[in-house]
Amino acid sequence: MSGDLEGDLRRALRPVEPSAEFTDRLLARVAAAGRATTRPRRTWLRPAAVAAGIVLAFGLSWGTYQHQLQERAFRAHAELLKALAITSRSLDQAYQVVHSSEVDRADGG
Amino acid sequence: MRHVFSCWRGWIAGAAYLVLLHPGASFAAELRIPDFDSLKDKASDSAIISLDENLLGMAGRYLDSSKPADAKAKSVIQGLKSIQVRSFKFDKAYPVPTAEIAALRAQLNSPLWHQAIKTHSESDHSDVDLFIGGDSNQARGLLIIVTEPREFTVVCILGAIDLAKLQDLEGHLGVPKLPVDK
Repeated sequence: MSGDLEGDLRRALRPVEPSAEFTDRLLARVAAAGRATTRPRRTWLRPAAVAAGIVLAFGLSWGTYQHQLQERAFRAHAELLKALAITSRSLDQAYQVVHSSEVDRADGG
Repeated sequence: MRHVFSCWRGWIAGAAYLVLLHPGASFAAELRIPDFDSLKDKASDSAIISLDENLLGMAGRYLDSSKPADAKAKSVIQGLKSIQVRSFKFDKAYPVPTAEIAALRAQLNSPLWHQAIKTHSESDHSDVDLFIGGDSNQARGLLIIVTEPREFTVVCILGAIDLAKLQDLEGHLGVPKLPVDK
């Protein structure tokens, strides 16, 4: 029984020489698959990625620049109001001094 | 060719006149206002503000013309080249920076600048010096030095200063009416 099984297996798994037609078909498929893998790459992909990177970097830089500009403008605005307030106070002091001296002169005269 | 050359010479001479001789040209260059570093550490409160024409323009864009105070401020800063403020407040008496004040005064050459107000109050121990630069038609500079026992302030405004507009700020930023000669 076991001897038959072994014989059956040997017969079933014996090396079989492929037919010429099979070999041709196989080689044709291999060649076709090779052509498929070596087809021209998407040459535009790399420049496009670089361009996209540049655009992104420029956009980010521009956004940062605009943000910094806006912050500087806000700070300048606050400083301007403070400067004008200090100026007005200083002018007020000058005025008070001039005014009081005028009053003194008028009182004296 | 000779005509072109003489024309260029004319241009160069004109430019040299504008840069070197024209009275207004001196105001194009900013006065060097000291930072008064010696006072910074001693001051309890200080403000060092330098706004050039560019920054004034930027700041002006954030002034809301629909608000009266902002509209007045916008009107005042039109034509200004710069505003520089050095203001220090102290908790106790401080050493007056006489050397720096002297250096500042040395830049105020006559006839471009003249001292409009010079006061010394013995009772308040305060000094107020006000210089106006420019000609009889247009004030191009205003410098105020206020020395008080607990406060020291220098304000320098350069550009086309309309004193009437400064007066017009009265009630908006607390600017009083100045005795302006017209």
